[in-house]
Amino acid sequence: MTLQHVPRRRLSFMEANSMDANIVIDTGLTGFIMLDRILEVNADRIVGMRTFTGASADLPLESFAQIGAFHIRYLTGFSRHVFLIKIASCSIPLRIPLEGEYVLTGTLLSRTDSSFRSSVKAERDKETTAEAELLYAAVDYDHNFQKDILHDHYTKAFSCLQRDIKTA
Amino acid sequence: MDVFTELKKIIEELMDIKDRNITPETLLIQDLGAESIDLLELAVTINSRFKIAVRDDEIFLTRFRLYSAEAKQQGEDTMHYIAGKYPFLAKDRIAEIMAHVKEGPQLKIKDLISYVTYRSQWV
Repeated sequence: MTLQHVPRRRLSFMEANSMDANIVIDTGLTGFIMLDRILEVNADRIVGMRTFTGASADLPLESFAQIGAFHIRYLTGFSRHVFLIKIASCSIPLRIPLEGEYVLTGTLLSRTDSSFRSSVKAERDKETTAEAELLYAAVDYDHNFQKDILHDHYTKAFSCLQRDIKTA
Repeated sequence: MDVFTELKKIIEELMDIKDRNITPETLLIQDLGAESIDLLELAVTINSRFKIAVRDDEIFLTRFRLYSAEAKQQGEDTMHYIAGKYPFLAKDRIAEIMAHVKEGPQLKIKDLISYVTYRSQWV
């Protein structure tokens, strides 16, 4: 899928005004996506990238949660709704904001049919800066987690995030 | 380390309980206060520690009452029907659960031991 198939997102008034220009940015993604790219995905792991600019601890953690969840969705064929249920452990520098481009790697540690444990780490220059162990649940779509909205949203986002992706 | 000792250790770690007298007869939900999130975490930990495939609804007997109702609806022998769904449970254990099922979830540590032992044979 190319980015042009995805609805454009206009900058909000404040965003546009702060840049003193009326620019339309096509991120290719709608909604709250804290990943820039997915580089590789297979049964065992997912690798992606994210550029942080002075990010406090909550933003990398959100990126961790998102890349881990995309891995579980990939493993379940996007057939169920996946969500984070627990941060089992987390090590993210609180005082030193993350700056620059990081490689995020999510590794599946264990799973059942409905629950998954993953470790996710952020590396820069091959040095691990932050890591977390996360627990996810997968449930059937229902009236709360509506398939026609969620399946479409996440498959589109996943497609947009992977360009020249390696799969196994 | 035997299955019970390892399970006890896992449950104590996950639920942060150290001074409870956990035995194979301990009820996970009524006695230990396990919540659904604890059970999900327990299931993935059992998968990694014992290297067995785990189905959440199977190991936690989630559909026991549903299967019991299905058996009645279909005019089948309830014991036989449930034994087919949960082949790791002995018939006397199924009878025990059926006798107490109205009191709430009957999942005991010994049911987890049975599941792990049964699944380990298929690794």
